[in-house]
Amino acid sequence: MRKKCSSISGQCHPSRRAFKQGQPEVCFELSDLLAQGGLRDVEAGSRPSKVELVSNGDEGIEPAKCGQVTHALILSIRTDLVLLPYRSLRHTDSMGKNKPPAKYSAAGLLWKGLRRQSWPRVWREPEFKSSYDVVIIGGGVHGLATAYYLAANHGITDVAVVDRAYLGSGGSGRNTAIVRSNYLTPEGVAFYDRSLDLYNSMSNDLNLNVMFSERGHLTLAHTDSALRTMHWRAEVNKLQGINSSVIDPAEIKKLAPSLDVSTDTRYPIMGALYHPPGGTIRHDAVVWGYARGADAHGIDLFQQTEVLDILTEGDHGSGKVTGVRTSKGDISTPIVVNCTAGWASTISSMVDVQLPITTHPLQAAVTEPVKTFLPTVVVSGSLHVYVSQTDRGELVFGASVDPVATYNMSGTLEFTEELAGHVLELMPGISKMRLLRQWAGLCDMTPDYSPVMGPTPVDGFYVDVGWGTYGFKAGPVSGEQMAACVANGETPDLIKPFELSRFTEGNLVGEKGAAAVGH
Amino acid sequence: MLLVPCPNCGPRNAGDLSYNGESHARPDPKTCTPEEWRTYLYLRDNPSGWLVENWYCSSGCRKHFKIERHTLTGELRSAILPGSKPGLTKGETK
Ligand SMILES: Cc1cc2nc3c(=O)[nH]c(=O)nc-3n(C[C@H](O)[C@H](O)[C@H](O)COP(=O)(O)OP(=O)(O)OC[C@H]3O[C@@H](n4cnc5c(N)ncnc54)[C@H](O)[C@@H]3O)c2cc1C
Ligand SMILES: [Zn+2]
Repeated sequence: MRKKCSSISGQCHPSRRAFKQGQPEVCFELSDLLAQGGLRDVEAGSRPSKVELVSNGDEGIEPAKCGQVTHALILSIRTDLVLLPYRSLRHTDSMGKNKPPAKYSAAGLLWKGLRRQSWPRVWREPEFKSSYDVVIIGGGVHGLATAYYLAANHGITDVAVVDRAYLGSGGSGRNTAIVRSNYLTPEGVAFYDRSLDLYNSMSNDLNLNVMFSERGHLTLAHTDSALRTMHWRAEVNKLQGINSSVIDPAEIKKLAPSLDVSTDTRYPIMGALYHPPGGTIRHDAVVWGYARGADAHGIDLFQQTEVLDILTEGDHGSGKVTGVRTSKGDISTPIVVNCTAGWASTISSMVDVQLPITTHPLQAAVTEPVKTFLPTVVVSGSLHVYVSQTDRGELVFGASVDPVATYNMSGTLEFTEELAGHVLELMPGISKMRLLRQWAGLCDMTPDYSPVMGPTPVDGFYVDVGWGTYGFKAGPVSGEQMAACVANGETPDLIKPFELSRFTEGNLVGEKGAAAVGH
Repeated sequence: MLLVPCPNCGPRNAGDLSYNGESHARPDPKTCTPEEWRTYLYLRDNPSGWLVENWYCSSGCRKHFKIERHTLTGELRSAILPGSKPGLTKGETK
C-alpha cells in the first residue's frame, strides 16, 4: 500500500547531491545547498530521480516529494546559518572593540532575506597574541563550551581556543547527534542529565536554533541479560527523577512500527529501555552557537593553529605549565585545557601525562532521504547498530567503534556490510534504500566508558577527554563544569568522580552497560 | 583493510585475529604496588605513530605475537613471536 505524503513541515529534503567522490567525509549536508546557490536552486534542485523502498508488509514508504516550497524557506534559513561563518566581516567599532553579534530573529531573517542582504561574520579572525590567561586546545563542542562558560559564568575572557583544523572538524562535526541521560551509574546519570537541561535552554541562551528534537530513545534488549541491564538502568534512572522505563515488544511496535518484533528472528526483540527525553540536536549548530557566544565575550578563536608542544618548568610529568608552542608562534599561559578527544594522548604526552585512553575510529553512514517513518532513536547493543531519522528524512546509522586502535579516519567496507546486515535484521522493510555516504571520526575510549576530567599532576594542565562515543551529549555540562574547575581551582562535585586519579586509585565509574553502543 | 602478518600463518585479515592493544612490560604482581598494577592495567601511550602491540591469531595458529604498526598510516614494520630475538618491548623502534 502506498501512503500519500501528508507532511509539509520539513520532514523531507528536496535537494540532495548524490555522494561525490573525494568529498570530505564530514556530514555537511547544508554546504551542498550552499554550493547550489541557495533558495532559487533549492526549489529547482535535483532529487534522486528514483528511490526504491520496498517494505516487508503493507506499509509502503514513499520517497519524499512534498512541501518543497516550505522546505525552500526552511532551508534558506539554514542556509543562512551555514553562510554565517564564511561571509562578510564582523563589525568593529571605532575603539576596535567587538560589537555583540547581530541578534537572530524571524523578523531579521525576513528582512535580510527579502533584501538579499548578507549577515555579519559570526566570529572574528583575531590577532595572535603572545599571552593569555587560559589556552584551550581543541575547537570542538567541549573546547568551545569551556571557553564560553569561562566568560559567561566566571568573567574570564582572556582566553584562546586553538584548533589545528577548523572548528568542529573533530567528533563534534561527525557525530550522530544523539542526546540522552539514561546512563547506568548514579554519577553518570546526574552528569548527563545536567547536560540535557542545558541543551533544553540552549537555543535561547545562545540565540541560535540548535534544532533539539526530543523524539524519544529506545535501547533494545535481545537477551535476558540485556533485559536485566535495562531494568537496572530504569531503576537507577527513576531514583534520580529521569523519565525511563522498560517496555514490551507490543509497545515498541507502537512507537516504531518499522521494527521487526516477531519472535522468529535470530535476535528477537524482548523489550526495550524507553527514554522519552532523549533525541537529536543539530551538532554543527551547537559548535557554531558556542563559538559565536565565546567570540562575543571577546574570546579569541584560532583555526588552523596546531599545538606542537606544551612548555613547562620543573620536572617532566609533574612541573608547571608556562606556555604553548603553536604553528603560529608561542603563547605564554599558566593554564592549558586539553579538549582534543581522539587526539588527547598526543597532547598529554607533551607534558608526560599518561591517559587511560586508546583512540579508535567510529563510523557512521547516512541514506538518501525518504518520508518520515521512524519517530524515535533506536539502539541495539547486541546488533551493534543504532539508527535515527533526520528532519530531512535521511536515516543516520552508527555502530560500535572499530576494534583496532588507529588515528586513521578512512571508512571501511566491513563497516557498511555489517551495518546493512544488522539494520535489516531490525528493519527488513528498508532493504532497497541506498546509502549516500559514510564517514568516520576518532573516539578516545576509556576502560570504564566514562570521561577523564579535571586537573592532572602537571600544575595548570587540565584535561576534558575520554569522550569515546558519547561526548556530544556531554558538551554543555562539560564546558560548564570545566570552566568552574579552571576558574575556582577546585574540581566541582559533579565531575569529581571522573578525575584522572580514579584509575590509579581503582575507583572506576563503569558505564559500559549503558555506553558501549549506546550513544 | 589491515593485513596482519602472523609469523606462522603469513598475512591475514585483521578480522581473523584478536587485537590485544599496546605491548607493555607486565609488573610482577607479587612485588608491585596496587598503583603500579593499575597503571599497567589502564594507562596507555596511545601514540599517533609507531606502536608495538599484541595480537592473537585466534582463528589460525593460536599464537600470541607482537607487531610494530604505524597508527596513522597503517604501515607495518615487523612481526615477532615472543621468545624470539630480538623481542620487542614498549617504545623500541627497529
Ligand atoms: C561517528 C560518530 C558518532 C558519534 N555519535 C555520537 C552521538 O550520537 N552522541 C554523542 O553524545 N556523542 C557521539 N559521538 C562522540 C562525540 O562526537 C565526541 O565525543 C565529541 O564530539 C567530542 O568533542 P570534543 O569537543 O571533545 O572533541 P572534537 O570535536 O573531536 O575536537 C577535538 C579538536 O581538537 C583538535 N586538535 C587535535 N589535535 C590538535 C593539536 N595538536 N592542536 C590543535 N588542535 C588539535 C582537532 O582538530 C579537533 O577539532 C560520536 C562520534 C563519532 C565519531
Ligand atoms: Zn597464525
